[in-house]
Amino acid sequence: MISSQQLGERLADARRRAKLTQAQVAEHLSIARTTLVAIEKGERRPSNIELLKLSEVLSISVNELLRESYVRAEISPRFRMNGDKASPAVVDAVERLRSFGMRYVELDRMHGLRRGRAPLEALQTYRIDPEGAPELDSQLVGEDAARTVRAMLGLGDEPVAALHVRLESEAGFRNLCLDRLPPKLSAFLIWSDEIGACVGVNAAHPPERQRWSLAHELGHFLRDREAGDVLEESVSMKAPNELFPESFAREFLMPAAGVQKRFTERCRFGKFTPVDLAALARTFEVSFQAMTLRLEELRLLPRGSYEKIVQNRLSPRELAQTQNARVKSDLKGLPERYVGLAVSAYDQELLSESEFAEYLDTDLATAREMYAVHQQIPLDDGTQLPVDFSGSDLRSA
Amino acid sequence: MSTKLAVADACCALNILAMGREREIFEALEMTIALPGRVIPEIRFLWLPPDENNVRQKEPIGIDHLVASGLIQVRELDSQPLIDAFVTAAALITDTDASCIALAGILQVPLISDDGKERRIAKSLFPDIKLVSTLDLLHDASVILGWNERTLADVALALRWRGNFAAPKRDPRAGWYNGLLRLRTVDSP
Repeated sequence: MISSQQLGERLADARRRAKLTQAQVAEHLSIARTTLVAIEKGERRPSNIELLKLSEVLSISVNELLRESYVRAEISPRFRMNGDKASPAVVDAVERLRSFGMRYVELDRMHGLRRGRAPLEALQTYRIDPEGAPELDSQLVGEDAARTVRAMLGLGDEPVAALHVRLESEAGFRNLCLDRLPPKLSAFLIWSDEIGACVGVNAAHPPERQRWSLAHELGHFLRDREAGDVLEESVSMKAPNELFPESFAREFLMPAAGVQKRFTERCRFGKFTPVDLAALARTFEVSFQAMTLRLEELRLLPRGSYEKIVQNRLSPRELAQTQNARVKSDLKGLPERYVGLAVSAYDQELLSESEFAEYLDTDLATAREMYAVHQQIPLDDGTQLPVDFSGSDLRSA
Repeated sequence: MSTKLAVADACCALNILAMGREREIFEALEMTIALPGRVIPEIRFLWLPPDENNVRQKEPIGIDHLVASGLIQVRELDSQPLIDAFVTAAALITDTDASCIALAGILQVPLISDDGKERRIAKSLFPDIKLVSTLDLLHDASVILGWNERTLADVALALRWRGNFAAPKRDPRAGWYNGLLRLRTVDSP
């Protein structure tokens, strides 16, 4: 059984998330505010009836309040909207991301796994020092960080393939595609020592934009992860604290040397057309606009090229070709590893079927379908191999 | 006619509905099902058979007709022993499962559940609780109703298709159920 102090902390966290005062909650329970204070401090354990009422008013399950495996994560996302006042959409998204991160850690722990320090987490060179001297040029530092990270990951000048998978392994990112987000919200980064970095990207955005958002949040991760981040359209990317992550994302996804090399290769065939531009964007899995602006920045195209192309519009044939050249998204919903852990936990009866559905954030019927799909591995001969989740270590076979 | 009361968890309630013969099954077993109120929102969808493009869609379902006919009773945790049992169970398992365990344990009626974790916790909190599986219900009802093998296989198939039900490995009736499915030469939905 968890201690009264742990329970009090969870109740206080839930109350703050619900944006309720102690007086409001106390009134709902018909108890004095001082009694609630004592409960939150762990000095008084609520009765079972009080616990049910608290669960109801705070919109949190009794299981979340009482289970031993619960992971408590203190996060401090940086809200920039409306002068530090976060919109309900942001609050909801951050809460979903936090909940996902906590469940991810719980699933890890069910399998005896503890969060280790990811390689990029150890990179301290670019961490912001609030008490240090002001940086000379955040943009240059961001580019330098991108080159350092590229070197650490052995990427050379090549495009970054399977970005989200790399960030899971190299930065320990727990990536989530967030649905039901307003279009202007692109991504979120939250951090806590317990869960590491959780990054949510807008599921409705095109894959190129999702990649950019991930790279941008990697910049914040290297710079000021504790502060968290909300990436949204209305924030100027020229604001001082956005210069580093933006220049980082640009150089990380479109390294100057690699872009120059491939641009030159394409020019060998004669002229460099919008179709070549679209192909280059596809190669680096960035948007047409991002690549055009990058080429302008690298002085490979004249300034104002993007506006000119947009004003002139592409010919219908060219447009069709660029549309077909769309990057295919490989970031969908919950991460494969997360789902795999949940399936394995359910298969080993560490989770009930209702819990399994809850962890997958879906209904029971869909959860059963996901279990059926993940329970078998397709073989080359067309047959299916049933998975033994409690199987022995293949390395010792 | 007096009926026996049993508590079903959300998953088993879905399974029973997936079979499409719930009224006959309940009547044959002379059984009324009690469902805790917080379980109802989980009983939302079943699957439809694949369309011409081999795509399966979900269909929304409800239990209003069974509640109206008295075959299902919706029960709330409305007494101190129920609340205490629920809170004890909820420390170990999700609230919906905990409410089923508490209801069955305190009312001293069978718990219909296929879930390994839920059954384990129910047994640990209420050692005398009687645990019944979906396949127990199907088997016992089919005997009383005198269903032939073909009818039984059709019901098993509906359970597989609509409920996406796979018999738990440790269920003693798993072989029987899989045999019924093989009769219809269907191994997967």
